[in-house]
Amino acid sequence: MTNDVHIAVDAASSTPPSEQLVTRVLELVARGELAAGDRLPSVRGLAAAALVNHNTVARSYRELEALGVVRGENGRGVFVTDDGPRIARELHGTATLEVFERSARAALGCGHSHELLAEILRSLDEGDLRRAS
Amino acid sequence: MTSTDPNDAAFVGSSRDDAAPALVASDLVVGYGRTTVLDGASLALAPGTTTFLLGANGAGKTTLLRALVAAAPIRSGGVCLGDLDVRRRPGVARRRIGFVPDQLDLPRWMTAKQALGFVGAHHGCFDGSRAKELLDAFEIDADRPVGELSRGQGVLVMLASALCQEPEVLLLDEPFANLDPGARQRVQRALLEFVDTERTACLISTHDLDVAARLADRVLLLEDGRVREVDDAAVDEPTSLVARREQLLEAAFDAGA
Repeated sequence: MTNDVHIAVDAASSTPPSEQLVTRVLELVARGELAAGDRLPSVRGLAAAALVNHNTVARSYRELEALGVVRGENGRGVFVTDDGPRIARELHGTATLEVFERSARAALGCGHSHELLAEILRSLDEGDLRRAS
Repeated sequence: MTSTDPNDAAFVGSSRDDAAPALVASDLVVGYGRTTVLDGASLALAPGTTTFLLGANGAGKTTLLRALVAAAPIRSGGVCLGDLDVRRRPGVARRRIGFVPDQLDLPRWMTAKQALGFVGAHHGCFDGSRAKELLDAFEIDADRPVGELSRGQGVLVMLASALCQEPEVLLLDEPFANLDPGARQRVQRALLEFVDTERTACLISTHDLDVAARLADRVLLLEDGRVREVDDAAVDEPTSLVARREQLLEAAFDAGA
């Protein structure tokens, strides 16, 4: 069960709530917090948890199904497909790279050096390695 | 996005508007003395949906809600609860419609527990165990006289009482006013779950556009004594909550101007 995953909607964002939910689920699947075969929260459950209308959740689940990441099984619920993790990594990967490029460009634009950014990347990498070991 | 996939049926909420309306009001004309408040107001509430009612102060939102349970002087027009003519049989209708006014309408000396027991004793179907759950969920001290509760908490006791009656239609007058942020969230959650599991048709009058933007299946605007639809989440293109709120504000503000 997936009641422990945290899916919220940012009311101040300029992104429609259904898209926010799509992005959040893609992220959870890409990171493996939701694995192939895992069940997503029910439409009702997620609507109550994220405090949005059912149509919003139903719309985002339809979108995720169209992307091939989840599949609805009549009466049983909505599940991550076998291809879901791969598709989510691709989509989420593209999105994160875009965000990274935008931020890097902004950082360079306001005068940070390439060397500093490279240094930050290296230190992040080392941090990850330390955590992993 | 429209999908013709048969699995679509797994996504509850996608086709609920096809159901016959739970409550229909047609051409209501309501007035007090020489004042006409509603002048041909019509609306239909579908089971399992949440409809918000906006309108400037004094537009007649409370009068409309009261008219739906035949508790306002209806000059002409009709209200139907399924096959039931609400004007002809208001007593029967009141047992099937949960009405939550915007201020305490219970004996002030009663504790919340006693008040719910009192209401329960007068109702054919009343889920007493649910009453306790709801009071706990709303964080209401069941042993305190309701007169000592805040105005917002008083509304929560009446909401708990209305939900226990397992109504087909739920009418809420400004339920989020006078509530702290935590209580507001708890009420929204309780409503979302209730509307979905019990398939209740819910009509909420409010000035709270944030909540309306988040939760509304449909938004109606009451102006010049009539009801007009300004938003339908099932057919409208998805917008951000900020944009939807803006759009509702514009619709409500233009009406007041």
